[in-house]
Amino acid sequence: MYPTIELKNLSFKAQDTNQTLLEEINFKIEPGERVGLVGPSGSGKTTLCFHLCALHQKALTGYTRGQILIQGVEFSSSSNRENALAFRPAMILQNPESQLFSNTVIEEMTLGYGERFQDKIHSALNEVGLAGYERRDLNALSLGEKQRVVLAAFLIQNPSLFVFDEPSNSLDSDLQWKLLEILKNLSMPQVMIEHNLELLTEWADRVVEMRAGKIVIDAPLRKWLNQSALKPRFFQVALELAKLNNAKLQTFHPRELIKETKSFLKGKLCLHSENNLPTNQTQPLIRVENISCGYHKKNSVLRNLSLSVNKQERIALLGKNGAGKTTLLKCFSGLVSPSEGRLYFKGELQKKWRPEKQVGKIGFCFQNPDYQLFDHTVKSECGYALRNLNCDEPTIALRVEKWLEYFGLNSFQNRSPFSLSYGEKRRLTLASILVSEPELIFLDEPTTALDEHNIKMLEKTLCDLSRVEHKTVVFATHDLDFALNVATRFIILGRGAVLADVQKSDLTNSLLTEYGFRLPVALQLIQGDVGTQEAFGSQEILGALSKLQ
Amino acid sequence: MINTLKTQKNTRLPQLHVLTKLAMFLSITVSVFFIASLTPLLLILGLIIGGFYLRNATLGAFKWLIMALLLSAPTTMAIFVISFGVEKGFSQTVITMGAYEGALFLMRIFPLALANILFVKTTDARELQLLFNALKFPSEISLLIATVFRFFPLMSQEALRIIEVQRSRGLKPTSLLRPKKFLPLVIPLLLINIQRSYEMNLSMELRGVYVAQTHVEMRFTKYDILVGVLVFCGLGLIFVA
Repeated sequence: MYPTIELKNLSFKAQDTNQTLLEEINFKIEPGERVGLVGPSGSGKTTLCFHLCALHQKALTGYTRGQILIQGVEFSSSSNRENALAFRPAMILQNPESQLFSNTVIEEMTLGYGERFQDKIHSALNEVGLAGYERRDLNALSLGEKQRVVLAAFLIQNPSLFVFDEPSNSLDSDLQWKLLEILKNLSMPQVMIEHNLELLTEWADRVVEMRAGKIVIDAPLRKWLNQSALKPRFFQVALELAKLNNAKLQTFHPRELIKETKSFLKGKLCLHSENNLPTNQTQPLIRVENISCGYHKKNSVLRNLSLSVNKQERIALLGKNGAGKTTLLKCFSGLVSPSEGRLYFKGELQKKWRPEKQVGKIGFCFQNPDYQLFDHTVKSECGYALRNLNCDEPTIALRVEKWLEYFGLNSFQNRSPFSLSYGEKRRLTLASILVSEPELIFLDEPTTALDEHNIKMLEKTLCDLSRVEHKTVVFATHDLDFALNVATRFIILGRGAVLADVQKSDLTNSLLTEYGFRLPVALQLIQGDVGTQEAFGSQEILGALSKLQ
Repeated sequence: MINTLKTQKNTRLPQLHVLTKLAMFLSITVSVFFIASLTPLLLILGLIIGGFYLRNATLGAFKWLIMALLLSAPTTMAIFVISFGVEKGFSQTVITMGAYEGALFLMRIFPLALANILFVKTTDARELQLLFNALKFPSEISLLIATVFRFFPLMSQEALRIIEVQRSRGLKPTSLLRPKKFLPLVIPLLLINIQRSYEMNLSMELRGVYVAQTHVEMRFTKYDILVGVLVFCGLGLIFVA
C-alpha cells in the first residue's frame, strides 16, 4: 500500500528573498496516521503543509525541487489539474473567519455544491457536533463553532488528507479538547501544526520537529519526547517525578501519565503560593460599580458587574469563549462605554473615559500584533504613542531605547516591524505600550500563537513588570497554566458576571473544575501528591521539584 | 429547494430576487448622477433609509464610514463655495450657488453609499454566486464577484478593530479625516486584507469551489415584477426629464 503522500528530497526557495525555506525534506504520511508538526516560528512548517496539500504552486512564490508522490504517483505541474481533482486535501487555517464566505451555516455548506449533497451535509454537521445548526447565522456563532463549520464543509468532500494550522489558537480549553475528540474520530490521515504541546501529545501518533527548513526529528511520540529539546512542561514534571521515585515512565500520553504518576511521591513536595504584594492598599487603581455594557443596546455582554483592581496586582481573567473577558478589558480602557454603572480611576469618578485620553495611564496589548504595526522602523513604531502625546524627541528617543532594550529588541531598531517573527512582534507591541509609562497594562490572550519558549519569556516579563517596575497587569487568557504561572489573583467570568474572584493562595483545583476548567496536565500530575488542593503552575511545580533533587 | 434552505430573515418586506435588488441598486447608483434637483434626491435618500428600517438592517460596522461622511460634509460644502467664489467672484448669489451644488453633491454621495451598504447587508455571497451562475457567467467570475461582496463587511469590521487598537495608542478618531493620519489605519488594514484574501483564495481552491457548478432556475415573484416596473418607470422619468 502506498503512503497517502510522500515528499522525496524536497527543497523550496522563496523567489523574493532567495531564502531556502525547505531543505532536502524526506517525509511520508501513511493512511490513517496522525502527525504533529512542531518547531519555532519560521522553521518552514506552513511551507511544508502547502506542499503536502499540493498547493505550493498557488500558495507560494518560489522554486520547488524534489518529488511529491500522491499515493505513489508523482504530482507534477503538467498533470496538476487531474491530480488535484483526484487528491482532495483539506487545510484548516488558524483563523476560521478567513474560510467562511456565507451568512448561514447551510449556505456555507452548499457553497459551490448546491443542495444535491444534502445527506452529506447533514452527516458532516452531525460528525462535528453541529446537528441542527443549518439555519444558524454564521456571524452569531462562536469561534469554536465557526471552526467546526469549516471542518464540516471540508468533510463533505471526504478529503484524502487533513492539515490543521494551529487550530487551537482561539479556542478555550474545553473547545480545544472537544475539537481533539472530533479529530480523533476521523479516519483520514491528519497533520497538525500546534504550539500547544499538551494537546499535540494527546492526539499525535508521530511528531515531526523542524528547524530552519529541515526536519530534525521524525519519530513516534515516545521517541520524540525523549529526543527533543522542546519537551512540554508537563512531561518535564513527569520526568522529575519519575526521577524522584527512581522509576522509569512507561507511557507518554498525558492522560495515561496522570494515571501512572498517581503512585509516585507522597507528601514530599512542598509548594507555597507567592505572596509578595504590598498589603497597605489604600484605594484601588481602577474600580467599576454595577456596570453593564456590550455591543448592542438590547444585549449586554456584562451585566451589573462590580470589581476593583489594586496596584501591582497580576490579575488573570478566565472564562469560556464569549464570557465577557475582552469586553471587560475594553470597558476598563474606555473602548466600550458602559450603558449603566460607574467607573473610578484612582478613586475619581470618570464620566468620559476615552481610550485615546488614557495613554500614559493605561496600556492595552491586543491579541493580534498585525492590527497595530504600521510604521517603517521598529524604533518609530515603538514611539508612536509618545508622538500622539506630543512628547519631545529626546524623551521619545530615551524611552524607546529603554523599552526596546528591556525586550531585547535594540538591535532591530532600524528594521521594519513586519520583518520580525511573531514572538518579536508581540514583544514590540508590549514595548510600544510601555513607552508611555502606563501604570495599568491590559493584555488580551497574550499567549496566542506563541511557542513554549516565547510563553516562558512572556511569563517572566509580566512578573518582572509587576515586581520591579511596579506595574499592574490584567490579562484575559484561555491558557490556565500561563495564568497559574503569572497571576496573583483570578477572576472567573461567566454569563456576563463575576463567578469567582480569588487570590492565588485561595485558588483550589476543585474551584477550577467546578467552573468547567480542565486542569493543566502538570497540575494533575502532582494532584494528590501534595497535601493541598491549591492550584499551581508548571513553572512553580518544576521549581519545587528541582529543590527536592 | 433554495427557498427551503434559506434562513428566515427578520424583515417587514417580502424577499426580493437578488437580480431585482441588483437592478434596483444599480439604477439608484446611476440615476443619482443624472438628477440635478435636491427634492428627488431627498426622496431617494428617504426611500433608502426606509429600506433600512423595513429590512431591519443596521449600519453595524459601516457606522464609522457614515460618520466620516457626515463629518466631512462642512469641508465639502466649503470647498464648493470657495471654488465657485474663486471662479466667479464672491457674491451672495455665487455663494448660494456653491452651497447648493455642494448640497447636491452630498445628496448624491449619501444615497450612493447607503444604497450599496443596504445591498451588501441584505444579500449574501451565495445568492450572488447563484445569480451569476444562472446568468451563465463562468464560475470563476461569479465566485470572484460574490467574494468581493463578502469582503466589504469584513473590511469594515477589520477597520473598526484597527481603530480600537490605535485609539488605545492615542490616535483620535477625528484625526482620521486628515489624509496624513491615515497610515495607522490604512497599512494594517491593507496587510490584513491581503492576508485574508490570500487565505480565502486558498480555502476556495481547497474546497474545490472553482470546479463545482450550480445552476439554479431564476424565479420571480409578483413583488419582483412590481419593483422591476417601478425601477424601469423611475429611470425612464429621470432620463426624459
